[in-house]
Amino acid sequence: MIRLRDLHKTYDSRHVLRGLSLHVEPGEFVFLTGPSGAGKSTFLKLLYAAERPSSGEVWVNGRRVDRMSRKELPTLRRTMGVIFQDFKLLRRKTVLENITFVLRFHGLGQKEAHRRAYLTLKRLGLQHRQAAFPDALSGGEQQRVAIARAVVYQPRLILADEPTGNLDAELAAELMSLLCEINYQGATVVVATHDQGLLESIPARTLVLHHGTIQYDGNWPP
Amino acid sequence: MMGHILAEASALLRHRALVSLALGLALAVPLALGGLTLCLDLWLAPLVSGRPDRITVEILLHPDLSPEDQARWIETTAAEHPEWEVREVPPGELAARLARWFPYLKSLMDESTLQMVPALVEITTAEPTAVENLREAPEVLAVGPTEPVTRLLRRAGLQIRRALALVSLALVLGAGLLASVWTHLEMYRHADEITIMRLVGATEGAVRGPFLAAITVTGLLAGLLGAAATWALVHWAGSVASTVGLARPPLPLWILAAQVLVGVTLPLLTAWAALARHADLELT
Repeated sequence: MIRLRDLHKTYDSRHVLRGLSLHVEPGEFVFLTGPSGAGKSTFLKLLYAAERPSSGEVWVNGRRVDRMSRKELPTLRRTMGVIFQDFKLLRRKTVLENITFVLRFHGLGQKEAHRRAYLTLKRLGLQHRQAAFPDALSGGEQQRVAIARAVVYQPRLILADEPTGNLDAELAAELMSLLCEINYQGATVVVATHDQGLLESIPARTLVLHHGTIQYDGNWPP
Repeated sequence: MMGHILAEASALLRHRALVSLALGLALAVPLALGGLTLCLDLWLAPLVSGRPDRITVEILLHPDLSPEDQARWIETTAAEHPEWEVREVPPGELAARLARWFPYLKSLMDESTLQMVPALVEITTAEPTAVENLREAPEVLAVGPTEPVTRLLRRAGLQIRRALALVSLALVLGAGLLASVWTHLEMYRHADEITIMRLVGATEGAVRGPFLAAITVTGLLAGLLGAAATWALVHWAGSVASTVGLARPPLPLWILAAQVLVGVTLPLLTAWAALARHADLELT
């Protein structure tokens, strides 16, 4: 599903990722952890092509991402669901519209898109907030909308950047159970987090990033 | 996809109704003035047309001359000066000219009164000073200016046309710049939104379509307003011109159509360029 080969990423003279190489098999659940500035977010951005590597190769779903043209990117991104750290919700759209809007790019009709979006919101306990605008929601609610948008079209790959950062323990557990369920259905899930509790909540492969290199790759705790 | 584009464009216009209206009006002003300058240019065209190396001198013949004597004099003069174009102005045309400059004479211009008006002869030549000599002829009552007003008017007309062309060009460039600045501002205002759309898998068509549709509507509004304003200005200029006996400036339909076309295409092109630039700037 994901293959990285000798991946480097530098910003000006700062070396963020140094020669990363790894494989993630289809259907795997992977945690990515490490201290702030270790390169977790950059790692994910390289996977959904919001950044280009300075050198090395990035393969997702058998396709080389680092050499993709701009025209090919929408197709790639529609195969994955991304939960952004800063949510990235559209401010002038309601909660429901933020989700149906993505489904429309997948070719769904208005009615079906509304139905699916509503079911996902219900799953995340947000159906009563469907007509609200993002600015009227709490941080936790906004995060749940971002999650709903990422999972609503059942992508083959889920990338989550600190998905529980604004959630209380109960909602965090609910989210992890949702991600586990999606994973159980066959999707590959990569979760970047520095939350130790979250790492311990699910037995999964864990990658520890430090100074741009993988310091540990195995089950958690080591 | 078209439904998404139209819905998003409509939302953009509703959310920024005042700004869109202001841009429409701001674009309409140069379009209206551009149209007006074109109309004035067409109006001045007859003044500067013709052969600049030849001018026409007007000769008034003595009123006591009989029509036969007038015809004979014209014939003889033309024969003596083959390089001249000698032409008698028909009474009807003379009456029209008099009525244009002196509208209050119009009611007096019937056949009987025209008999009392001296015959007018026009001599077109490259050497107008030679016509001066006709002043001595007993048949001639008066000779018009040989350093003619028309030459002066022609020179002035040419300068005015050049100035109008420059003004039109400046106005169109100004309108383009205005649309470009507006589009860039709107793009950066919605930059986050566009980035999000791209990140969740929207195609470039879905990203750019709403902006292009919204700017098309604004441009169409500007073009229609500009055309309406030009129509009103030319109508007003025509009424002023007619009170002093001048012809009304023309307002061909192609000018109004061109205004609408420019109103739509100019912002559309600048928006297209701004969107392409934005996509290049964004790391994808």
